[in-house]
Amino acid sequence: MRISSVTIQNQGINAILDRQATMQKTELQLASGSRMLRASDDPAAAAVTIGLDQQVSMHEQFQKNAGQASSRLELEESALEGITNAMQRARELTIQANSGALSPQNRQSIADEIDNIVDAVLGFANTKDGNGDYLFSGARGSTPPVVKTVTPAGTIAYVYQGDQTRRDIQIGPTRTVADADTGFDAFMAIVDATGAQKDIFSTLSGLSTALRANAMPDGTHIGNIDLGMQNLLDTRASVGARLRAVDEEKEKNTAILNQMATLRSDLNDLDYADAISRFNLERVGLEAAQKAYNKVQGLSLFNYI
Amino acid sequence: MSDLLAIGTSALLNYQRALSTTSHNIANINTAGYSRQNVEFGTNNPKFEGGTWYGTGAHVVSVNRAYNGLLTEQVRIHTTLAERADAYYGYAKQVDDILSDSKAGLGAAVNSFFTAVQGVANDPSSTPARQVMITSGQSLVDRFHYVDNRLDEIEQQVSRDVETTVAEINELGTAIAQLNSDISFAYGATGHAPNDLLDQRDALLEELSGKVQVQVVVNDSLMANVFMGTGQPLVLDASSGSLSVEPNIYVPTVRDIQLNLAGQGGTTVTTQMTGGALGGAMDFMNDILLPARRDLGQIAAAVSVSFNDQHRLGIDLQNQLGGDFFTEPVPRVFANANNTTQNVPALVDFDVDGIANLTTNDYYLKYDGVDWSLTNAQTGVVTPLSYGTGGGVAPDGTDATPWKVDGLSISVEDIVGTVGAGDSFLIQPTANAAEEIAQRIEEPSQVAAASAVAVQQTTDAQGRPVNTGTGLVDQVRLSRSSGIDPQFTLLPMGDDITLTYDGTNYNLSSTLGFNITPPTIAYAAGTNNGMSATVTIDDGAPLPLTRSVDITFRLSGSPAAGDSFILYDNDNGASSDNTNALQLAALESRKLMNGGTASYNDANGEMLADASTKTHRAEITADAETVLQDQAKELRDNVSAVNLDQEAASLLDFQQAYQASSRVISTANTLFDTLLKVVG
Repeated sequence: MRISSVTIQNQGINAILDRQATMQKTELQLASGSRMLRASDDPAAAAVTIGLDQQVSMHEQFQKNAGQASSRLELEESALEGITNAMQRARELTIQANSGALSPQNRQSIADEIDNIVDAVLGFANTKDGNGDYLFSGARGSTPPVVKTVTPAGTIAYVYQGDQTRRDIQIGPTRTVADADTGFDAFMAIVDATGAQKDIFSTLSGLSTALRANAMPDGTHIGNIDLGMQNLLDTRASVGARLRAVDEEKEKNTAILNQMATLRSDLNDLDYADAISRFNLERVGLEAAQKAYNKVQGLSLFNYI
Repeated sequence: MSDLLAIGTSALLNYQRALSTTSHNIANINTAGYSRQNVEFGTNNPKFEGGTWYGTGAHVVSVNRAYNGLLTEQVRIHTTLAERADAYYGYAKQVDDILSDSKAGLGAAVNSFFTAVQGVANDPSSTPARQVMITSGQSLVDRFHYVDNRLDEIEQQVSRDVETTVAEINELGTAIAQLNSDISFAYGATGHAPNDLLDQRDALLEELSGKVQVQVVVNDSLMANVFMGTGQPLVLDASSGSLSVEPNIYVPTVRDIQLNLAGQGGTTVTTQMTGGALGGAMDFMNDILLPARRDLGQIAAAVSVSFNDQHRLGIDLQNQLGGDFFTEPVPRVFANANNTTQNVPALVDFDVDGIANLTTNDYYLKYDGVDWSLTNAQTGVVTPLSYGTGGGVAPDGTDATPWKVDGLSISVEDIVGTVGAGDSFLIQPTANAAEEIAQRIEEPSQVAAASAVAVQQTTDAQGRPVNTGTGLVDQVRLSRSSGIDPQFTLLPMGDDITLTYDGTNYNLSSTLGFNITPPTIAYAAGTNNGMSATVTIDDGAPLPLTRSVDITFRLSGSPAAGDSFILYDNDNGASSDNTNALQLAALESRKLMNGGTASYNDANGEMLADASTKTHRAEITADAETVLQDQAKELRDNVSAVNLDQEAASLLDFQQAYQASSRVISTANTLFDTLLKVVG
């Protein structure tokens, strides 16, 4: 068969160019560590990667949310613990005061301590979180949840100023937790068997008022304190349960993140061993093509005439 | 003796010609389209002398070119295919690069934006968190603009390339027509085909086939008639038509290709220009670039419309209802240049409730003199529409009740008086949406993170519960609003709504006497625990607008008769309320696009998959077509192109023959000398 000189030339050059292009691609893969240099290298994997990236971004955010929820719940737990301890002390004082041997002065000084306890409880109830928001105000984070009011007649009342909205935090794809309880639920919504209002502030300040009047506290006072403590205990149990749920969700998120990182790596990352051996092979191929070109170009009848 | 001299001389001249033809071949070794030439020798007529026939030498019959018409046509066919694939892949690769760049791509920006929304949900009272959300919203908008701009740059580049290609086609057409005339003249004058001119024309035809698909028909006078694409004539005998780039009949900035023939005016042939670089550019525009811009715009439209819709249902730190977070894009409408007037309907917008059905297609809105219709430009599906028949209740194309089709809301009320039969409009819902989306909110306090409405149990003066049962109303939110103009800073309800339980029903009442539908909700603790209810509240006042809102809430527990709850406008400093921010954050994973099957990022993934699959296929096609083109050229070159070794051999051959012919002349000379000596 007759072959034209142009064909011989082109074939030689094209063989070199093709091998150079293949080698350059492998070189870019090696440099970037990525199997896909552009989406069209593997369109299906590229589309899956977009979905994965979104999932990773969302789950990383859930982890952050969970961390935030944890810290608010832990803060709540420590505030509630402080109030429980104060209530416990008030309960001891009530039992102590429930004795005929006490003088009016003794009761007065117990009343003084009870007043200190109320102030301490008020302080705990008005705890702020790391961002400066009141923890127990519900959605009204900039309003102190409980304030002490005194009428001109001298009547003391503790008024709840927050709202009844609990804030939910997204800690997993389908999981939210309330990151705090409202003061309404934790301190105010307490009623005794007769349906009478027994919020912890009324209970404590009522006790103080009784002692100052030199009245002997009775079972009702203890009972009211116990009602308050029971409500605190229930709230703390719920906080504990939520903290556990947050931890569980965190572990789940971590597992999912790891799984997605593996999947993403499988889809995108380069198999170096394979790529390096491919690169070597391609280099040998290129050298062969260059040598062949050189030899073929040297062949000409004109060299002999 | 004179015979000897004559034979020798003519042979000498013959081989001189042969040697010069060989040199011509060698000289044209690198000339594109050159066909090697062969000298064809013939024996001279013999002479009868002395009762027998004597030979009188040889002469040159003709100089032929090594040529196979079929192989040349194969080269043209494969050049068209290869150039088309090459142009297409060259452009597609650029789009693929833009969309698959993980840093510049859209996906990362969507993710960061919603991360920022979650940041506000975690800490709604934080100004920095709100600022980050606004900044991330701006980044998302910037990303839409950036990707769209890059795509627009490619579109501009393609347009310029098309103009260049069209100019080249015109020049080639003119040159081929000129050669037709020269060839036909030379052939007519001599009866011999002018090889080099034919080669030149074949080279031009091959070049032309790289620009656009051509069919070549050579007539008896060796003129080549050239037809482009699907049969549009470019060269007829010695005259050539020309292509020009003209404004599209709907969109003046879009360019159409027009074929102009002498004495026949212009015809639009945009879609007929298949094959070659021109066809590749057109196919790329229609297959990849325009769809990618529409896909991108669809996401921009869906994000802005659905995010705004939810944002409007919340309340901001200034205790005002949420406004538009993004500036929403608006569908583009163009009148056909031949319409009765150039008015376009003003009220063509996205349909908030149907935004999930928004497609990535363009539409033709047509009026036939009686009825209207909407034709999907890509699928051809026709939706018949009737104007004004619904009496202002059913969708009838009026401003009050516009037609709702595929996520679009269309009213033609403002043009119905001026429109003529046969008028049509092009609606491009998403083509420019990615360019038009913008960040609207600038103040961190304007982010509406809180629920616009809230609920509480009735309390005493100290904020303590007075209800005696365990009934609960919660998860309250504004689920629809209309007639609330943020400019008037109205609150959704404008009044407190009290729910009082009577043992069987919750009875709803408004202090100001607003209409509440339904006015009672049956609730039985055992069976309805956790039920969700929605009530519609309107203030019954037509001015400034009739306000109507839907409030959705959940009922649970066992309420006692007489227990009551209050739904109220959440404008009392609920700075830590994240209810609406959570709803906004949840939009990221909701299937709000493509008929409720895809999230924003799903749609982004589909766009990328679509473009990159086409690019991948284009790469394979381009590689394959290049190989086929090379093969076709090799086959032709094996017949037509010069082989230097062969020419070297010819050179030796003809040189020897030339030397031998010289010897014939010198022999004749010697003989003559000998004779002279004898005589002398």
